[in-house]
Amino acid sequence: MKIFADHDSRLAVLERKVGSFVFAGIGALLLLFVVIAVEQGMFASTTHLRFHTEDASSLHEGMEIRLSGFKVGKVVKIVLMDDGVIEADLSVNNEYLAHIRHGARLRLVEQGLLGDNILEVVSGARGQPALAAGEVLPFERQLGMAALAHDLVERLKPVLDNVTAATAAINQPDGLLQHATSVAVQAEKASVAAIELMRQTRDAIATNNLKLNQVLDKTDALLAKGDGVLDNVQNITLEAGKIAAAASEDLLPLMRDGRVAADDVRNIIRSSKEVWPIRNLLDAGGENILPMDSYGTSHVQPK
Amino acid sequence: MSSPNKNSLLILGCLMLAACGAAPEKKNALSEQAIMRSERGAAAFVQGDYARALNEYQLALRADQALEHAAGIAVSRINLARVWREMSSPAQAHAQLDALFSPPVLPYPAASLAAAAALQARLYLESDAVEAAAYWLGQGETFCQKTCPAAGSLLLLRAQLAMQGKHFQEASKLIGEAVGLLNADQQAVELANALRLSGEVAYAQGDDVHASSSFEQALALDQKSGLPAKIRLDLLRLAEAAGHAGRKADAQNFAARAQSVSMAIDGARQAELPPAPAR
Repeated sequence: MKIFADHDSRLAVLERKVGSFVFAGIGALLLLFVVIAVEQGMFASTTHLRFHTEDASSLHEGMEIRLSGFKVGKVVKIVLMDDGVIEADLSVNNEYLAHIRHGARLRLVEQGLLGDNILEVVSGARGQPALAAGEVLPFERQLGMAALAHDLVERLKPVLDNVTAATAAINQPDGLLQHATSVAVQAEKASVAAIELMRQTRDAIATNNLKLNQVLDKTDALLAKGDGVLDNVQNITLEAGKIAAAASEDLLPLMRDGRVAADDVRNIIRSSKEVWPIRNLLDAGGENILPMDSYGTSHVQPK
Repeated sequence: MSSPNKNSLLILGCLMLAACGAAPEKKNALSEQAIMRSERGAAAFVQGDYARALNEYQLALRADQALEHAAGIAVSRINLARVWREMSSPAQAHAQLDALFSPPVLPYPAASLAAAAALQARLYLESDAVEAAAYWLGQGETFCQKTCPAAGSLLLLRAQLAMQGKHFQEASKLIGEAVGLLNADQQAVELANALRLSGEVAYAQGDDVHASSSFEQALALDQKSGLPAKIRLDLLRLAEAAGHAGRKADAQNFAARAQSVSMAIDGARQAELPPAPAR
């Protein structure tokens, strides 16, 4: 070959051309790598920060970190340390570091129903000193749909328990309702007796004007009875007042909780009734003819 | 996939399923009012509060008339007739039912007209107007064609007509047909009526064993339905059947039970009465 090159100058030109082509190709490839690396931020100046958490679920390496919708960095590494705490290493672009100062927090956010999770930087107050490399940022999780539902259930549980306990207490044989009922019955009896007394008094006055002495005697007796009745009424009123005072402290919060729970349950049931397929299983409702009765006791007179 | 994302998919699936069904037809405010009044009227009727039932059904009728809702008008008038009958005002009951068969003519459902005709027949039967009762039974059967909910009731009324004419075989046959048409769950009262009628036919024919058995079945159904007046009637029939069969102790026991129920009914009525006015 050397012999050919020595004797043929065209081969030397060809060799130079091939060499130039190979160098140009390698140069283009290198340029491409550099462009991609710049695009990926490999040459961007970054600062490493950290955050700690007890639970690494929904966190992963490469996860985006956003500030006001801008991508400002990513999670580089997640490590389980000896003490069981999880430490995540973040790489934040220095260009945006001016906006992330002391007092800033990191929050794990769900992006919509089906979106991926991202880490969002919540800026702190202005005028705070800048963060140094390796500093630890506070971390928190935003409640997702499942967590919200769980939280709602947890909040409703004690309310429903209270309602159940209150209902049981009220319905007990010696409970508040029974006691109040007996007091009401006594009050009703007393009022009936008082009305009867008043009626008797009026009749006596109307019909016996001429027999004033007799009427006065009767009135004395009636007044004596009336005093007894009024004493009874007074006792009953006092008892009712005591019961009401004792009940009001516990009953009012219970009733308030119960009303809120009942409203929620009513709304849920109303909404459920309109949802397919439940609405297909329910009677649509309407005006119905009373059940027929072709035989029976009747007070009907001939037409 | 992470757990929250699974939950999200589940919720999305439920939302899509919910969106699949067509939206239910929304009733206008007046229709809803008519339905509400009718339901309240039915509740008052069951409780024996006929004055309130009358008021509610009249309000329902007014709402239906304002909308010219023929089916609703028919239902309200039939129910009003039922209430008037319970209030011992057959003339008012007839007036409500006559309105359904008089101008202006509206497209009332055939089943409602059959029920109205059956009620007309019953009212006439109770006033011993046998011919008028037979006429309205014929009208009811024409509207019903044995396919409407009142078909069993029409047959039972026809059986009562036959019993009045001492045609016991025919009555027994009609009762059997009626039992076949009645829905045991929704027409328990009519089923008990059929059993009582069957017992009466057997009693009239001297078959005391069959009569007692039928009355006992009717009693069980009426006790289940919670109808004191019917329970009292069944006990009286059982007492008669036991007495006729020579079981005097049983007859006395049934009669005492009937009297006890009767006193309980009267006591309940007394409790509902307002206090006597001042002399």
